[in-house]
Amino acid sequence: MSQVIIYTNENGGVSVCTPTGELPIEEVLVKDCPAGAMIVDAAIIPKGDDDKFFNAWKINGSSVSVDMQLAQTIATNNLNAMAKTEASHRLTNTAAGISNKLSDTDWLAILTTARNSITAAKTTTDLVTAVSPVEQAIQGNA
Amino acid sequence: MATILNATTSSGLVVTPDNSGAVAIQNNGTTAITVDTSQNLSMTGGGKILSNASNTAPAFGDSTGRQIGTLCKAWVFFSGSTGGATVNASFNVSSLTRNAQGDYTANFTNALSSANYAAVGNFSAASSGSSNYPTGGMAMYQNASFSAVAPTTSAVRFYMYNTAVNLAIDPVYASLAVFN
Repeated sequence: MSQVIIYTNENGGVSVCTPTGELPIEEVLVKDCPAGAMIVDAAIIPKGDDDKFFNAWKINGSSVSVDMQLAQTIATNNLNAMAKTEASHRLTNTAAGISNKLSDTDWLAILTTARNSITAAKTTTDLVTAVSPVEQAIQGNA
Repeated sequence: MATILNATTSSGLVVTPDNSGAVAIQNNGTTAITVDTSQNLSMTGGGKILSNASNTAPAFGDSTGRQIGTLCKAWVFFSGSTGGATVNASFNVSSLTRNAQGDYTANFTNALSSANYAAVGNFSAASSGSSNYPTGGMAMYQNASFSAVAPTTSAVRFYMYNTAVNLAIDPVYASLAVFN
């Protein structure tokens, strides 16, 4: 079983230190990581949709879990960033005489649904599912 | 063929000359270094060029002694995400730390002689939600908060993100190299 080193970093998030194999992991722990860092099996590291919310990870004892409230905030911030960029793209299309694939009304409805779904999400998979229609709408309007 | 200079364990230096113009240096009958008539120097058996100064790599110079080249002091090829990074290959990098999405630190196995080095890198920019804006940026000496992080002799920090939507990217493929 491969091992990694985890610790709570200066921002309150989790840092995951992966040795390259040039030095034993015990040496990497001392040389590259702060006090309090610990060696764990890589199997305990969240995967799949949880990995997409790495910035919401928290260390609880010797395990790592996702802070769902923080994950929802991150999902909302990411959605807003994408929405702002797409809004500029839509305006540019209009100014250039290019029709957007969705009307403004339908685009805003998709955003509203996504925001509501983020608020109601119980898991990171729910968050990914909530944002997916927005990503598809952006792709479709390329 | 070549003129052979053989450092034996029984008879000391044994010289076996010929008229080829090439030279071979042997360790007790095993060829270690050859210099052919085109001035090409070859080492066998995985030999190394060693500096006689600690933590200082050999330099390359021209006929005047002026340094005209340097070696890459550290490099790493890796994939982001899946928890931490997945390191595929490296040299003089002991570990790679994922500090936040897109935010990594490469830690050097042996400290560099100076923090005044050039770190360069690149990565595959594709990421979920941003494929409509494939404009990735790799900000060296910086963290995910867009704050500068001074390079040190033991580590360098860098951040990869989509410049159109300012979302972090954990790349499928990324590489970093350091020169000084």
